[in-house]
Amino acid sequence: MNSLTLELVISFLLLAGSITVLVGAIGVIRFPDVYNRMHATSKNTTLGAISILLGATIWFSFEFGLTLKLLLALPFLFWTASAGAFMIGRAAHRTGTPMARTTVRDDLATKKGIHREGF
Amino acid sequence: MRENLRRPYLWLILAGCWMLLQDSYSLGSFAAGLILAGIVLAMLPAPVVDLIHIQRDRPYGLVGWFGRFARLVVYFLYEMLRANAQVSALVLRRRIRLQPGILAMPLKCTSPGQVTLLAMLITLTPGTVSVDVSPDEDVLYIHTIDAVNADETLRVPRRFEQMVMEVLG
Repeated sequence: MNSLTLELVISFLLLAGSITVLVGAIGVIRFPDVYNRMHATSKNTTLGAISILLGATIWFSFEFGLTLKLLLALPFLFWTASAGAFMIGRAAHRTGTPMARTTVRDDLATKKGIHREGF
Repeated sequence: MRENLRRPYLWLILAGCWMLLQDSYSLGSFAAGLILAGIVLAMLPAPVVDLIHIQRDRPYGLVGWFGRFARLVVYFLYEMLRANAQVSALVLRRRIRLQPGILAMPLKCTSPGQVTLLAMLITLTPGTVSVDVSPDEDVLYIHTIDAVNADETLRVPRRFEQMVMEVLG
């Protein structure tokens, strides 16, 4: 593989990752409540970071010889992003953070015997 | 701590992490990793919860197990790309129309490891984020951006559950 195609691949990975994270950040602002915001943060930041890490791995391997150090971050990223989203969502629901007005169903609240209007 | 030392996969994982950190893949660094792994595992005060509890019965043999594991990884990556496309499309729309809600998903899988992995996979796949587990770990509560078509939304999580049960015991 010549260096131009390699650079194109790396640039694509870095750009795609950055854009994914940016869209996730916009989603955090635009989505109506905590629970919906978790969708944007957990999914987009993970994929964005993975993409950037892959790009960095390829670049560093190309410049300084094979390095897989960065790939060590991947599994931890998967675990922390989803565990974080889980804990934030759970804490939010337990402390009674209100859900968006468009919410149609809440099985967790009915289980706890909480009655909210609308469902 | 004795239980930790008795699990070979913990040794291997820690040694692997050490080799990746050192960025050298020789027998020497593997040995150093094993020694460090032994020290870390001996010093850990509490036993690590037996999360990575690989399917003991292995009805499909070792090769079959790896095949199923690989299929789970590939399917997960595919669903994750789909999830990102979906969220991105939603975020960039002029007006965000959602019908969110929390659905209860009764679980067929029982072990803590299976439930953990399933909750993690669900969070990173389209339209769903796991929010809570019932105290006796038989119902998973999933927040979704489309709670009206509940069956359609839970199709992917159910498929994941099936695959997780084939991989972890």
